[in-house]
Amino acid sequence: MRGSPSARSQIDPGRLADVLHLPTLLVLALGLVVWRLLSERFGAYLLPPPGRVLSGLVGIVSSGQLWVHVGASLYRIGLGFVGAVAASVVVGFLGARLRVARLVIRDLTAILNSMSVFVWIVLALIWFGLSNAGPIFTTFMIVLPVMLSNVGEGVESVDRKLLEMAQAYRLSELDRFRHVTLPSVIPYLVAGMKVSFALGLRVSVVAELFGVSTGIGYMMNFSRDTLRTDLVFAWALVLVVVMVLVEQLVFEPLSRRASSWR
Amino acid sequence: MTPDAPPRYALEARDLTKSFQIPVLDGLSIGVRPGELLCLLGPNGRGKTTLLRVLAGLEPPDDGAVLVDGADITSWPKRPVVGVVFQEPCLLPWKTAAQNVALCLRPLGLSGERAARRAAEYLDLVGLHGFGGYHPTQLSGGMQQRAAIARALAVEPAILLMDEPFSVLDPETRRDQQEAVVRIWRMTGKTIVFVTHSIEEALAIGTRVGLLSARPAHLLRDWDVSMGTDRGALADEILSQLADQVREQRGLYARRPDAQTL
Repeated sequence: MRGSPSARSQIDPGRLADVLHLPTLLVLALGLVVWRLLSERFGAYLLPPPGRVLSGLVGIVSSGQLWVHVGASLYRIGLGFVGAVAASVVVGFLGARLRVARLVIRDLTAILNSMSVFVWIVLALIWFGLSNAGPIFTTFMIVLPVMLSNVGEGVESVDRKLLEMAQAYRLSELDRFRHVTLPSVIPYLVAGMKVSFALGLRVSVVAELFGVSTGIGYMMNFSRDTLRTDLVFAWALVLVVVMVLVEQLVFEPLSRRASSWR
Repeated sequence: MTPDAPPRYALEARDLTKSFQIPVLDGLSIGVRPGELLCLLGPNGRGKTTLLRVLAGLEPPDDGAVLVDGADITSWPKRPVVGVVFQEPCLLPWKTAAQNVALCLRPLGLSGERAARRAAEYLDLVGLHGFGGYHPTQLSGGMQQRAAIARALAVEPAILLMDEPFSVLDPETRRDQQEAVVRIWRMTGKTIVFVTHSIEEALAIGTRVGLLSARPAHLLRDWDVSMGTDRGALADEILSQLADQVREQRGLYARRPDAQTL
């Protein structure tokens, strides 16, 4: 938990190549060449050439489809994700108070963790039919155990000595929670959110294959149905970009804030 | 042991008994006179820390009573009546030194501006002027422990309890801290109970030195230390008695006291 040296962003010409990920870019460029050659060999249906994918992507953006479907996907995953985070916080802190609850939560988390995504997708279809609720529910059920185990770990990690100090100084229960327990758990909470959002995004896209008519997952399947493999690739790219952007714009700042005192 | 004890003690322990499977405290009685700096010495083991926890009201005794200014505090009062300095600083790492001190003033009904002012006042007193805005990780070990002392003093307790507060510091820093304690004691006139396993430390700062017996602990003997006391001779006397206790605690097999135990 302690002593992770913060990466200092300084302009060092020697490390500029690293910062710009030049080696990675080089490999990607090589990949593009290989991709191009393979697509010549197998044809545009199996493997559309990079140029086609790019123009497909431009089409998605200019037609406004991008916003509709990215918005729909983010809306669903957002609801499921926020719901699961909230639930894990409530349940996790219940576990902080009650030892029995802690044991039950740990066991249930283990069970939930071993459930396949597909179980939730199929059950959601049965329970909620063709609606938004399917992907939301699926995201919720997948994010929940990850968050629960992180919050649980955070609660376990609270320094007993600090709690004892708080007791010696007769801090109220609320103050002990606010000033000792909660701040100890927050780094675990943020780390869990980072991991589980990525997981939730990947999972809810799968859930969108069924029951809904918007979203990145739906569009990928729709593109496949209409034999537009180039658009399948384009939407896959969109998914990657969304993931990276959320990571960089939301979770990076959040985890920096959470550990600002270190 | 003390002839002509004054009628009133600042802190009095009466027949304290405490067991954790094995008896740890056995009918331990101590009277600490107002303004006294009592150093409690004893062989390593649970006795000293348990005694301090009972005195701090963190652990109820199985039997006996702890009286502060004549009032029983074993019944868990709402306000801290003793200030505790633990072996480790026990500062909340996500709060600044000043915030750490101010937080523990909340049970006294002090918050905001008034708490901040008092925190600053006591940080000045322990020689941390200007360091209030620093987080614990930005302070040295000795400074952290002084911030903890400031916190203990800021609640303006009747008694200050210190549990081997400098045992983890290097010898140089340790000497500085000991001097700081004596200085603070002179300035505030506080009644201080200082638990240590170092005879040297006890004689350097204490006005009285009490020797605890081997487990189950009771007060074996105590000595007044004043300007005229021959510390060398007293140290030898205490050492030989302490050695007896160490031998007793180890059983008959250990012939000589281990230097580390002292």
